[in-house]
Amino acid sequence: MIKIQDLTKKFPDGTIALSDINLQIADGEFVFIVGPSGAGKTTLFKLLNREYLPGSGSIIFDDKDLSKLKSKEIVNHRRSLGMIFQDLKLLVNKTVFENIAVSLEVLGKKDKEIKEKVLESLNKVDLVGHVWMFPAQLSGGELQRVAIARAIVSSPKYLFADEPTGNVDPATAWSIIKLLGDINKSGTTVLVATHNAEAVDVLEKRVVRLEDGRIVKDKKGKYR
Amino acid sequence: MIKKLFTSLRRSPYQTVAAVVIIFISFFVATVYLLSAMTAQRILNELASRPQVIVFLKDDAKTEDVDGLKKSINDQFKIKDMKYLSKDDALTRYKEQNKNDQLLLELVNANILPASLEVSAVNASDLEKIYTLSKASPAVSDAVYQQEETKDLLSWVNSIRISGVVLVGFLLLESILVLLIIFALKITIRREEIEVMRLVGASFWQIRAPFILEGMFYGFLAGVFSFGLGYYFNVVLHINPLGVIPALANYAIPFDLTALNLAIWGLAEIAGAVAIGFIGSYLAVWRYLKD
Repeated sequence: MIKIQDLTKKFPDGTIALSDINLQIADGEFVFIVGPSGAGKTTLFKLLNREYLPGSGSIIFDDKDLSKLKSKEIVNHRRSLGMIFQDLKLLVNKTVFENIAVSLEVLGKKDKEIKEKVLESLNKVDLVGHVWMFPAQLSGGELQRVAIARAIVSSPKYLFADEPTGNVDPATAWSIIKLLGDINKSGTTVLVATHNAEAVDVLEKRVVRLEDGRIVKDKKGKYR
Repeated sequence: MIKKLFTSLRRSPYQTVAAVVIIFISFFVATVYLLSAMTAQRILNELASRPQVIVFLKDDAKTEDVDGLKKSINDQFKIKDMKYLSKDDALTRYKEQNKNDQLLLELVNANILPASLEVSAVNASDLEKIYTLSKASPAVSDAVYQQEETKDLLSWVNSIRISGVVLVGFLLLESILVLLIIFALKITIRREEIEVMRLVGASFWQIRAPFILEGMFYGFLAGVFSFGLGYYFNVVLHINPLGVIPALANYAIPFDLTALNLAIWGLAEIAGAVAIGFIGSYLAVWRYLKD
């Protein structure tokens, strides 16, 4: 369960990225976060990942207030999440395998288990044949799927995807959204920030709309 | 982590070589100076065991005059050792010292050599007074003391110690700074990877330990090379670094080290180099990988 109460985030330059956000996300839920660029979607994800601290208000993850976590607890919190970053954050000098394995290496898993889980994860995103390739050898859609594979390889309780369908063609975008839906069906709580109205409309999941850092809509259904 | 260490070494061979070479130079110079300081100490010990003032007695010296001189020296100064050498004792020693030169042995007999008193004082500053007192005695034909030689050697030894400490200290500092720069570069190059590791939940030490381990490994390699070369020069080639100083060349025989001493030397050198690798990499990590 994620509980966001009276959350406000103001940057040192005076920009108010988020204001008075109240949101509750139940375990196993699928939520689209939509809104124009600069609405505060990425800031919200960075707050959920504890990259940022709230200016005021609180974010409670399973009864733990993210603002009060100690260093070791922040590490454990991040390990419980799967993050698909807007800029993907794939390492260009590492193979697909190495990029995905990093999520398991930080958990201290043994080589054999890492190999099994990475292949299993790549199988889910249909990229097993690309395991020894480098990011430069992959298409935009394939890169997105590698990022998804890295995010799900450790079977996280929460999966946050920031614009996972950006810069890919409609068919690939749809396959990515479908994949995230399948991950959600296995019990993972999924939050997806997107501009892809079509995908939102087809899935008809809960939609939280942000505009100028405020929630202007929060209900199940369509993009608009 | 070990696998990652070797991957990192393989991917940045020039940085590896630079780091190992700089630590190696520091420790090899330290080895040279350590051997020099040990040799110098051995020379000083040898000098301390020798008589510092030799008082040559007249052939017709009266026993009571000789006894009086011995008593005066004993009463007025702190004496470590005073030995009477008769003419026969002097001849025996002469024969021992020149046993390989038949001509010198044939030319000398006990009558030529004077009896003497060999005096070692506790304080070097008493040597001149003992010398003056002895010269004034009617039983004494001549006296010599090796204050100048001792002073020269002491001055050499002190110079070696001071220059050694300064140079080795400077080189160690330089090693640490070079490591700091190398690891700062490595951290900068791997900044994206470090960021990803942080975001997926790597702990404080999972991010930092590989750098520190790498620094310690550089130190280990440098320590092994430095000890190996020191061993080769001292044990295999039998070269003592002080042999290059003309005044000390005769004393600078190589050390005959026991297996235990060699082990202590090797371990100390490797541990020291590993410590330098640790300090250099830790400082870089502390400075450039803040939370």
